[in-house]
Amino acid sequence: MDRIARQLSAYLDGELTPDETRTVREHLDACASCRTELEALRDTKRLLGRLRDVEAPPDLEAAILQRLEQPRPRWFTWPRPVWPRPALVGATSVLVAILVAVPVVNGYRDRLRAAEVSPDVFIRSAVQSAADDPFMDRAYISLVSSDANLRLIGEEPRGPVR
Amino acid sequence: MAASRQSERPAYSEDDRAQFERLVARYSRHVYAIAYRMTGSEADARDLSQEAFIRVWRAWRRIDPEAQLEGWLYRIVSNLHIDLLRRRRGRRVHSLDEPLTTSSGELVRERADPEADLERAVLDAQVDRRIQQALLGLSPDLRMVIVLADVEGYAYEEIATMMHVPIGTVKSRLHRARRALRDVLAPIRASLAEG
Repeated sequence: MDRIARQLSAYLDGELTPDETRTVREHLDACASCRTELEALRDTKRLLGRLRDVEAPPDLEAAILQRLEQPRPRWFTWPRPVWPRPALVGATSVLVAILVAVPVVNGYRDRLRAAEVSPDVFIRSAVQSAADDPFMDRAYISLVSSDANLRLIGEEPRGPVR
Repeated sequence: MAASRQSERPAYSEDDRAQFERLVARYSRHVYAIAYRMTGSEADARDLSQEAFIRVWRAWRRIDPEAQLEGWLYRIVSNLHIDLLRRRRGRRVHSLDEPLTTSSGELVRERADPEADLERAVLDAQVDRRIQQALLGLSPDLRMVIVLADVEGYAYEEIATMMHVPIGTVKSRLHRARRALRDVLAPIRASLAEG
């Protein structure tokens, strides 16, 4: 029933296959409500077909040809750019670049400083573990160890360089 | 950059221009009529039909001369119309079957009064306006199909080619459109039947 009802428009337009047309016709013979529906659809179609012809403005052709000479209109072309102000976008990107660069450069400098002190840290710990050896020269160990300590706190063990 | 700009506006020959002018002369009134039935506004119909031809012109070099330009023009009109509706978000499009909801609650959609004095309603400007209003109540997809089929008289297969949709889709859209209009236009149909 529903399937037939959905085909009524196409039946009306003669757009069904011969088999489908026969099935719908047989159903219509037996179904009064589908016959009413078909008539309503037929009247609707007829009404639309009787709409008056729309009159185009007399200067339409001339207006179209005139627009060929013009650059792309804004009316219909691209949607607005995502960033409408290039200067603002430029300034923002510079600011972002600076904010990213500062911690990166600082981190690099810190690593360089760490590399400067690390030999003394290494010497101090190596010397202190060597002190466990009973045959090691204690005086030498304390000298090397205290030199490393002095360097770690920023003093020159042998006094100012001349 | 400069190269891409140039390719947007290639130099056309006199012959191209003459062919295009013939196309405009042949189809512009028809394209305008369909645009008018789709938008219900003379100003929009004018803009849409102009823009449709401009798009054809921009693509002129890439168009197969044997191609079915008429169908292509209508598809462009249909797409431009949908773009237009999207841009005007303020004006919502309501389907005829959908109840209207406002801040003060649900409104009963005003339908034409069957008791109205339509005895003299031959197909005059007033009836025309009411049919146009009813068309505008359909969704753009349904509207385009019923305008092409029932106002312009195209066959399903032609509409399917124009709209790039299967014939089955044309069939179901047209049926839905007619069913929606059947109720809204019932009073006019009745008065015409009496007359």
